Amino acid sequence: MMILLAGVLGACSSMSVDNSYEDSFPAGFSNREYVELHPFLLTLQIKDYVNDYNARLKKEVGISAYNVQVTQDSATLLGNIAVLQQIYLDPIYVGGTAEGWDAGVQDLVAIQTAKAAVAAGSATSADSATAKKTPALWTEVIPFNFIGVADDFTALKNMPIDSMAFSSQYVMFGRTHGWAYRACRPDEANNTARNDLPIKNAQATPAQKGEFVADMGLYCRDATGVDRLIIQ
Amino acid sequence: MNFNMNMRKILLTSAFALSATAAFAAENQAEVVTQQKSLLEKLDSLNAAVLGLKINGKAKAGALASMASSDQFNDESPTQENQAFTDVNLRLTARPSSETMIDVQLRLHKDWQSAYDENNNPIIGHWFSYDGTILNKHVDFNLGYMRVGYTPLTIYTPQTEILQEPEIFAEKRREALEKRNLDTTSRRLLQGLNVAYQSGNVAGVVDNITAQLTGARLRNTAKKYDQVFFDFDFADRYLLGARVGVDAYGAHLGANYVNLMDRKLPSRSKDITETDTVYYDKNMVFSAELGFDSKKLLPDLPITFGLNGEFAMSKWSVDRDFMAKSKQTSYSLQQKNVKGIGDVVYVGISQSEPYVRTNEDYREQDGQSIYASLFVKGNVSDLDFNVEAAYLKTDSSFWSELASSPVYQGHATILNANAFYNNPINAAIMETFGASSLENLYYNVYNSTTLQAYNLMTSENLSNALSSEVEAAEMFARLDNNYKNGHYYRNGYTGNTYKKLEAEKDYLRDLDPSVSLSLPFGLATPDRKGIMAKVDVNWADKVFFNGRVNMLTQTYADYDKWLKSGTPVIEENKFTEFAFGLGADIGAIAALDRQILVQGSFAQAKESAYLKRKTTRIVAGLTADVWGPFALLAGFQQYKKVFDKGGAPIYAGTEELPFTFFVNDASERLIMGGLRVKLASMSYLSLQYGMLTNELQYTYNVGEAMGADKLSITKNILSADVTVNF
Repeated sequence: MMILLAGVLGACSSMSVDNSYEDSFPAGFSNREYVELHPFLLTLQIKDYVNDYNARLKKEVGISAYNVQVTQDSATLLGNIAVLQQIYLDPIYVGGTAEGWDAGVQDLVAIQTAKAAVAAGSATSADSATAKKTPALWTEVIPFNFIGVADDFTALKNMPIDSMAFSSQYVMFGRTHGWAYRACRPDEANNTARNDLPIKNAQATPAQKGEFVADMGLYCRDATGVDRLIIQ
Repeated sequence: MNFNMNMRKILLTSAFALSATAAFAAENQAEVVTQQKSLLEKLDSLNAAVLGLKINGKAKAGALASMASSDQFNDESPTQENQAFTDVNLRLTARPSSETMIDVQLRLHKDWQSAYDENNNPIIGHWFSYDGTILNKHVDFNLGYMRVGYTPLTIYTPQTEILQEPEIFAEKRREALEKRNLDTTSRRLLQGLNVAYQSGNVAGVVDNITAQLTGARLRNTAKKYDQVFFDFDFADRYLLGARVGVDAYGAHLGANYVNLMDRKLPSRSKDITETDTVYYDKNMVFSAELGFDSKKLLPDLPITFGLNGEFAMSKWSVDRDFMAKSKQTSYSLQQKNVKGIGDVVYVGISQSEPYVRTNEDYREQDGQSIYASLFVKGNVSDLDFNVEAAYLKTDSSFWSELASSPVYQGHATILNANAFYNNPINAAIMETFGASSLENLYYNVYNSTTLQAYNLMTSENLSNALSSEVEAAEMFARLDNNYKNGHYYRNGYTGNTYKKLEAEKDYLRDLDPSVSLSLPFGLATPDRKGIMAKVDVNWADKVFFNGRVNMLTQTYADYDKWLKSGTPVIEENKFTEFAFGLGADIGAIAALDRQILVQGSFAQAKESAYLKRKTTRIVAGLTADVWGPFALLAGFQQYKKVFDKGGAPIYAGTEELPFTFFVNDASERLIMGGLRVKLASMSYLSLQYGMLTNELQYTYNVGEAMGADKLSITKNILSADVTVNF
């Protein structure tokens, strides 16, 4: 997974933090490392990008032309099982498991078979009910589907990543919420885990509703996935 | 003759601005040079005026009927247009001291036809200025409207020159110019501040040191084409001019600087649409001038000689604003629930591609121009003469806007503008080519019309002034408003200046070279090289002779040959222009106590390439004091324009039915005759008849049909008016 992320992020123009904001970051902060620890930030950005792209297309071509394209594009994507699988299994997109994929394909085939039966007029009542379902696979993949693009997986790989969004997120949210920003060094393996610090509870269950206590500590993540306080 | 003098006095006083105009700037290029000079001298006595408030002016009441006939009118077309009016021009001058003066001019105009539509009549103020000669006569200033001239390559107004133009014509031309606040001098109408310093004699060596600074706003509203009421655009253009000069031993050395620029802020205060483009034009000219007159060094000789020369460098650049698509990224904090982690705040990115106002450099040109003239003038036993020979060379990339905008614009239909034509081509010719140049030169119509919702034009989105809905016209036609009347004119002159991009697009100028075929933009016309000569002779105010010869060339790209050979073919377009005029006061020659002035002139101009145009003008006239208060005025003018290669094609018609036409031949004639009666001191009755004929031969192309046809209009014009000067 780390290798894959590095590949995606390697495409970005600048991975180092902008110098003018250097003071806002702890020593050794890097966008790449931060997003490797919190890959869902990248996933959220990709989803937004796809959503944005589709919204602009809709505005550009008009609603009716857009709807025609949506129908065509859905058929294309559903017919292209290989692309669907790539997107489903990729950890930064859907991040599904092999078992999930198999179940999803079964579900998809069942629905398509039922639809074919309905179209042929030989549908049972169970078939009619199944034909109306949306495939679970489809619901999960749809946030990564560019309307009007045939090979969505390649398009997703080529999408520009804005790394500034990650560093900004750290400054505005991650840091005060005690998010780890780098991997722990071997000598930090025994540092206090964040879960053992009073701030954990202070943030999880504030004394008063709506109160927020900023976490002043800096954290690293050890090999087992535990966030530990960095001793400064 | 008295009348003439008074008329001119009034006109010239209203035109008078106390600007320091050295070298050739003060020299009048237009009409009869000798007459003008004596008038300018008389200004001094006029200006030594009394302190306090003074009201002068001119009132004119009369009627003008123009009856037109043409085979190209349609059956329903009106053929007559009447004007019946009282027009009062009030000039209020207030002198708090002998040094400064406030000058306000107001116009009241009542059209009798609409007298009962609305009895209230607004006064239009058309001249506001504060002028003076202060600091012991060392500093002249103008604030407000003013007329300023620097040099022929910097600030100048190219004028129409018609040799020996008869009084009956000249008077009408001045009247048309006056309605637009213009005059026949080469100075330019501006509005702003002008300050000029004159040192006088310094240390007995230097005769004069001058320094002048001029700042003016050239346009702010509606001056692209002043055709639509409330046609405001946000163009904002300024002039900054400065000059210095020194005179010693009869020599003059000077430097002039003119800078014109469009301000961007006002234009940018208004949104533009995706298809709009706004151009910002900058024009800078620097010139050095040199003059010498032998009179100072050799005052006893009956003959003086000298030279005037100017070298100018120009810089012209345009940049433009337009709407271009631009990627924009905006960041915002978003909250999402992530499976297994919970609510996460992240930085969301949203990309858009809106149209944003973008600026880019568009065009830039630098050019040079040089002009030098030698003159000999003198007075040998009652014979005044002035002979000049000049050389001119101007780059095609030279541009000096304030020297290149003639006041004659033409292409308007002044009289019988209500006529309808029998086919779209004839109508299109009248819309673009307009009525004859003689009509534009000599006639003007000034109306005060009741304004109502019906004739108030507003934005294109509104069907009338009050509602965006299309409603019954009857609802608004009788609805009056508080402005009551609006003043409108049909006039062939303008004080607006042309930006280079506008001038480049004005093909019509090619078709009506009424200012000059070879120098349509005056001496600053780009891409000209050649020589000019002129002679003016006046024998004891009895016989006048004028002669002009211009031989100029223009580089000319022959596209026909270019296409055939495949390599650029640049040739020369040679202009040959000559004119001569002769006038004789038979009354003075025969030693009678009255003026019997007979005048005539002939002028011809042609070019060897381009459209192969050829213009011919024949002028004849009579101005005679017949008996007692009666004077007879008559004039004849024939003007013919031929385009051997056809004129520049004009595109017209509708989207469904487009067509092109070009005019290859225009023949115009104006015959005028009239009687002027002196009713009392400064009061005159004038009765005039005029016949104006205009015949245009044109070819047209409507797609499936091509052909040649003609448009011929004859107008009979009767006018009677009483003029009182006070």
